[in-house]
Amino acid sequence: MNKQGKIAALFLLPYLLIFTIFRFGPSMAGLFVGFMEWNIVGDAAFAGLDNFEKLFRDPMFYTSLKNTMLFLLMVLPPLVVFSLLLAVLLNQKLRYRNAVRTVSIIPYVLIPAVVGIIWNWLYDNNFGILNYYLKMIGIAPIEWLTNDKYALFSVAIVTVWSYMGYNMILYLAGLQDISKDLYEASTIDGANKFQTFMKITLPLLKPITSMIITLTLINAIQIFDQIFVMTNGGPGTATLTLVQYLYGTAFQNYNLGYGSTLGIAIVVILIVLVQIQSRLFKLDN
Amino acid sequence: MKFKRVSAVLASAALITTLFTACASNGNEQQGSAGGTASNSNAPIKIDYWGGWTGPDLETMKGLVDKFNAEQSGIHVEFTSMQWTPLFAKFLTEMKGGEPPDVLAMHPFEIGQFSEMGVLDNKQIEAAKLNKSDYSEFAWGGTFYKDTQYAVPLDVHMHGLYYNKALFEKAGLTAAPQTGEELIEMAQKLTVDSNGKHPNESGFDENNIVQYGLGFNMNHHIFYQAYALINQQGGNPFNESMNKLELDEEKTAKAFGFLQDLVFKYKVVPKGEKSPVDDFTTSKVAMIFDGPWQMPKLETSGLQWGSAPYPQVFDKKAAWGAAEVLTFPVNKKGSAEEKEAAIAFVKWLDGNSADWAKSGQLPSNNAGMESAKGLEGREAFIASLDNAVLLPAHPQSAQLFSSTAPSPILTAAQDAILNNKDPHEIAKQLMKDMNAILADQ
Repeated sequence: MNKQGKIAALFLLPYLLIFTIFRFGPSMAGLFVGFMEWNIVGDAAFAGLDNFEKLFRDPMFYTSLKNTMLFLLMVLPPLVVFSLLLAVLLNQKLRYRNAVRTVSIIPYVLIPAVVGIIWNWLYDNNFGILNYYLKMIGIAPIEWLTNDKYALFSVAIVTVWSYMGYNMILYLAGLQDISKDLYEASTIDGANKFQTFMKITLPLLKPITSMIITLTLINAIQIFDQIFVMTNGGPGTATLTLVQYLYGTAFQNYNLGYGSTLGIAIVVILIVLVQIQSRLFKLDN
Repeated sequence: MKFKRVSAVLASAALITTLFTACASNGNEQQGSAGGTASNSNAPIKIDYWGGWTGPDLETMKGLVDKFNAEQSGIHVEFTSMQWTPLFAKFLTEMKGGEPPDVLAMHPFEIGQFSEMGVLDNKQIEAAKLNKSDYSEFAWGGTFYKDTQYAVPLDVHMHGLYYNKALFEKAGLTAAPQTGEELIEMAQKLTVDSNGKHPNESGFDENNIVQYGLGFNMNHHIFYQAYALINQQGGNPFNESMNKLELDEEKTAKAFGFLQDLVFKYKVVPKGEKSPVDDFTTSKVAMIFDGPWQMPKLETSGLQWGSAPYPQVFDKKAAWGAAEVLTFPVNKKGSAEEKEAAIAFVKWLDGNSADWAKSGQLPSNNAGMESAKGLEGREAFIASLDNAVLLPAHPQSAQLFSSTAPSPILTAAQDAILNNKDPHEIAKQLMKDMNAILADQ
């Protein structure tokens, strides 16, 4: 290793140490615990594949998996499409553009628990502002969070609201990276605005779109805070997601072994989804 | 290729850690008075005291601990409080590491699980030499599991009814309801739409109700109410040693059905209500079912309110009740002095429980309870003591009676009160879900 390499390694060393002690080590331990029966206090007993067998016949796992996938389908398209449209809009020379950009990012900056509390007020069936306006225009109030048909969708709206600003900033950075020469050339060639968007903007934003989809996949599969604050997994199990189920299993029922098995399952699901996504979005240089 | 595999493993590891840290970090830890440690022979004996209070009662408990620390110099108590679920996860982790707290607060229904895990020390309870006659029977009964005492009673609480005196007067009502019929009748009088009509009048607009007669929490507390209503019909289906649940379908369906009717038939309760106490303090609902822990909030609300025992809907009186107790975790490293100090502190808390009554909780100690009688609103709850019913200290209570999904009681409660499902189907599903948990021992 040359001198420059040694210096680089020295800079990396503190992070690698922290990563190994606080991330990699516990993760490997988590994988190991997934094959054990353990309630934290007693001695862990090797359970072989029992936890995985239980996973495949656990109806609550399938309920939480179904809810998580539905949630992903609810948030992914709007978080890509609306963020892109917002970024394109805010990339134009508009009055108050900077103020609107700043306001758009505020929901992302708020702590998810605070977001959950705010939306709980807005969604209140009887005295919430949303139903107040619905009643004003003669529409029957909606049981946003307390009806099992709407609850997951209502949480999805909040997630889209929270993350759209962040995705918009990523798209905005991508848009500002596209050379103006390309747009000028297309104008000279007679392309209209829609054609320019479809043939220049969209293809050149492909890496950003790929990154946004990956981040949304991870965030959606790991959804926890907002559900915990807004519905606690209810009504019934209508908003019970994989991580919420993991939390209950590991930290309420103290079944660390099965909780870790659920964690492994979530990681496997994420790896599969990210793999599919990266194949679909195979980037060429 | 090799690099890709290594990356995949590292990414997986990072993801697992992220999941666990995201979950485990939930909870709002609050440290009480920090203080010196026993670094030399003259230093006070330091003991750790953990509880799950996060509301106004946290300040009351902090005040008590500070008072204890100020009154004497031999013992210093370090108090930590956070939400109950992360508290117990932290407790078990520290227990595994050999550093459990010296005193831990919990609820009676958790004693079964923790004593089965072998983490509670009943020898210290024996050393504390408690007298049964100093406590209410309800509180004393909540400290036992399989005939062994594992805890010192701290306080009790139960469901009761709060009513808005001004709205009662406006509706021409003079006293709180005592029966199911009275409750429905009064709640209808107190429910008003934007045209001033009541639910039992023609032309009542259920989409434009400006004031509801009654409110209650639409979470696991619905099950607690149903539990009381099952007991009101005679017989308690749950016990600490059950390995199969025999639920009387008819009684269970009648219990859930009564609560369901208040929302869907009589329309006197807001559908999907989120915060009954806030609706009550802002006069949007005229009565609420809730616990005594709400009293500090009501006392500062400026509202003219009264309280009454939970109504008798069926054959006999019964109200859901619970308690908070103090336990001594097993600590093999703990010295005899520390154990004695922990007992001394708990006995001091017991002797000063009249101050704890200010938090809204009712002291388990008879002397403390007498003092509580002098505080506004407590009398109605104290009157329910003889008919309050506890959930059992079953080893699987945390799962059977969990307040978060997936939970059999939450599913039953919300199927009844939010989804308006057939009460007989709810009863059958509840029994099926609970028996699935009981079979998985």
